[in-house]
Amino acid sequence: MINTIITLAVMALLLLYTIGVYNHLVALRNRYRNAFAQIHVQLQRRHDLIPNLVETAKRYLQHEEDTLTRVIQARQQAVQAQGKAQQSPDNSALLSQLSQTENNLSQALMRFHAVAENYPELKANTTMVELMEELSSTENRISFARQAFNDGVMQYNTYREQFPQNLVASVGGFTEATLLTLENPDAKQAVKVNFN
Amino acid sequence: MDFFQRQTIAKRNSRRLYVLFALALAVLVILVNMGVFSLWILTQPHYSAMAQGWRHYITSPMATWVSVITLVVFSLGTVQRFWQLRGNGLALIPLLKAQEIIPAPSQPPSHKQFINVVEEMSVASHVPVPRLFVLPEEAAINAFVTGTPNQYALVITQGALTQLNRDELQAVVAHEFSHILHQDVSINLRMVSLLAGLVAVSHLGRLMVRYSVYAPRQLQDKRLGAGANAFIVVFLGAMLWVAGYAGLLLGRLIKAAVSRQRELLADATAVQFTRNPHGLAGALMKIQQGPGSQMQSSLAEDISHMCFADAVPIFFTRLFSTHPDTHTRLQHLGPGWIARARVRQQATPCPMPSTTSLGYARQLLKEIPPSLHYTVSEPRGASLMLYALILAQSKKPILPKGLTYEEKKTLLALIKEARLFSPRWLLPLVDLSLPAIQRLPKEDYKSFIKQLDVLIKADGHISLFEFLVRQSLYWRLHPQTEEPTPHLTLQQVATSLQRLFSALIHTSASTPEAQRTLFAQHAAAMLPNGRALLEPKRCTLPLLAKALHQLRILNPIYKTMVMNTCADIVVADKVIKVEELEMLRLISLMMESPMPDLSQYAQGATSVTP
Repeated sequence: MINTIITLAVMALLLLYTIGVYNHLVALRNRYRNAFAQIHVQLQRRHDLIPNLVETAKRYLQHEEDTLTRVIQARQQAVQAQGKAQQSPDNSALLSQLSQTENNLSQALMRFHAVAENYPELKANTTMVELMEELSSTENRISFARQAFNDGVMQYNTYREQFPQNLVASVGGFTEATLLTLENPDAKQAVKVNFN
Repeated sequence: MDFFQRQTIAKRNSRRLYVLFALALAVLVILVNMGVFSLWILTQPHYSAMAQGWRHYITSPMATWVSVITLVVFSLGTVQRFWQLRGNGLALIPLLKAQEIIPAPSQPPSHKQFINVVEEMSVASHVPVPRLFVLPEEAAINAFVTGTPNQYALVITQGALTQLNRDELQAVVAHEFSHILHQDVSINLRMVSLLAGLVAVSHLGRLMVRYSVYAPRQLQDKRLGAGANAFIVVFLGAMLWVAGYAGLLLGRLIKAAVSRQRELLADATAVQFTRNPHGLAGALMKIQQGPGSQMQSSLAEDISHMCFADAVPIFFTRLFSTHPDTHTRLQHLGPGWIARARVRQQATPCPMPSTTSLGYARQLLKEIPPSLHYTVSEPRGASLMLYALILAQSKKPILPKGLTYEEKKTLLALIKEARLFSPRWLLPLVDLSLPAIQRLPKEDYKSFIKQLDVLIKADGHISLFEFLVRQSLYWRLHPQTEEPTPHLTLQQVATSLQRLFSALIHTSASTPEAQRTLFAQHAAAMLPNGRALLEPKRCTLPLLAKALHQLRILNPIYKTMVMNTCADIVVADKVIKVEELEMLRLISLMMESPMPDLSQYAQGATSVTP
């Protein structure tokens, strides 16, 4: 009799524990997925800011048509790549394409900043100052969101791989999540110095 | 050790402290029981051995009842305070005179930046954006969070908004977000409530003592054995009182220790969110070396545990303070931060030129024609310029030897030009020439100095300007590296000071009365009694040079005072003459003390006259 009760109690505890682990895994997975959604939200925010930036700068940078067009084109490509990546979030090829276009956009913006340095009136314009602050804030947010995503993935993976959670994870189909890395081949290459 | 590991440690330490708190409670119960036991043993005379009696007492229903009653009083106090404080977080806001920051089109850029920084941290930490407030009257650097899990408020001082840069602001905000994320507000609420439970126990004791001591006599007399009863009640009450306070002391210590652990946890989390320890370290160093973090509000005590750094001064010991000291926090941030903070502290703040003096300098540099700027920028031209500046003072210039024909032609042209220079160009031209002179080859430099000395002595008289040029060259090109020790006191340099002030006053004022007034008003206070203004022949340039040489090893604290007095003398008549400026420059140069910013002394009316 007592043995039966003890067995039942142990089984009940085990079941409760398993449910707890399962739920925690779900919570961790949702957390990093949400973090991934945040990256898209912030990318969207950056894309929305750029037309205003170009519109304000146009009046001052009449002779820098080339720079502005490049920013607009880079934005266009980034918007398209983002649209595709959002429709199928698990496609890694689309993801790397998105990261490539975003990098292009960052480079175009960097060029724009460099050009804007030469136009004191543009830099003094209040709208421009506000837009620059918004833009740098958004870029911070993108990197924070990416970082939060990676932290979330790390927590999830660590929890998932530990014993005995790994038993629940393999039965429940919790697969390993991958970290977002810098997928810009240029950034990894060593800098070439040219003295000519 | 990375920040994840530091977070784990901080969390583990906070848990340990909870265990300690339970121990403090146990100590309280044991103390109360011991009190009751010492009374009880009196009524049981047949127990000779204390240990035996204790064993009997502890198994008796009496001990159970005493323990239960103590715990019930404790719980009642705790629960009462908990309910009282619940949802009370935002009630503090209006009392602190905080202004809410709401996104609006026409707000100051610093507010917009603050909102952005908060939203960025919200992205990094998955914490919803709290309501934002600013304390417009607080100049200190600090911030805190308050509220309930449903509604948090993040309050920041105006000082933090104006003095921190973006990265540092971000670190402070990230630190506060960690307090939200780790629910430190509710942890603190629980701690305060637990302390209130301990207070309740000691209050009960105090009530019992008061009641029996001050209760009406008749009430006691009517009872049988009133005296003994009253004694028992007073004794029990005193016991509870003392035990409650002993527990409270322990509780306070533990609460402060928990709070310090939560701060370290928040620091580590702030680094996780920002991935930039420089911001946090910068903010901490600014607090350490700048305006501090102590708030003026009378409510600072109530919010001190949720602040970024100490909001109230530390009394007596760090054991009761809510924050680890900056040193510890920098140490936990990683190796190297303490050294960096020390370097920052030792770098003595250099007096920054004010905007007016900067404006004056800019205007002066614009006045000097670009061709002259060009001439003094290369070594040959610079040496010719210095020759020309000296020679322009005499009617019949004797050109130095060893110049080529070209150089002689240039020099003659320069002399002609220099005679028309505004006197206020002379000092800047000397300053502009010095860097190029330093680039002269060694042999050329030696012959240049020789020739310059010949020119200076040619007319048998050394003017202030000539002296200054010679000294500038000497000091700029032969900097004194050894630190002069020991420093002299004002007493020891009295004669030199007297000479210095007299020389300056002779340059500054022309009539004897004006000179005496200046001496009495400004110089006398720095000198021993009985020292008077010296005659001009007793403060000639060579004598002054000797005096300044001695003043160089004056204690640096007094040096600043001497420089300020000199500045006062110069601006006393609201007119700064070029000779006065030259004199001041000479003093500052030879005493190795920075030039005072004259625009701070003279208000409006001052002008530099030719």
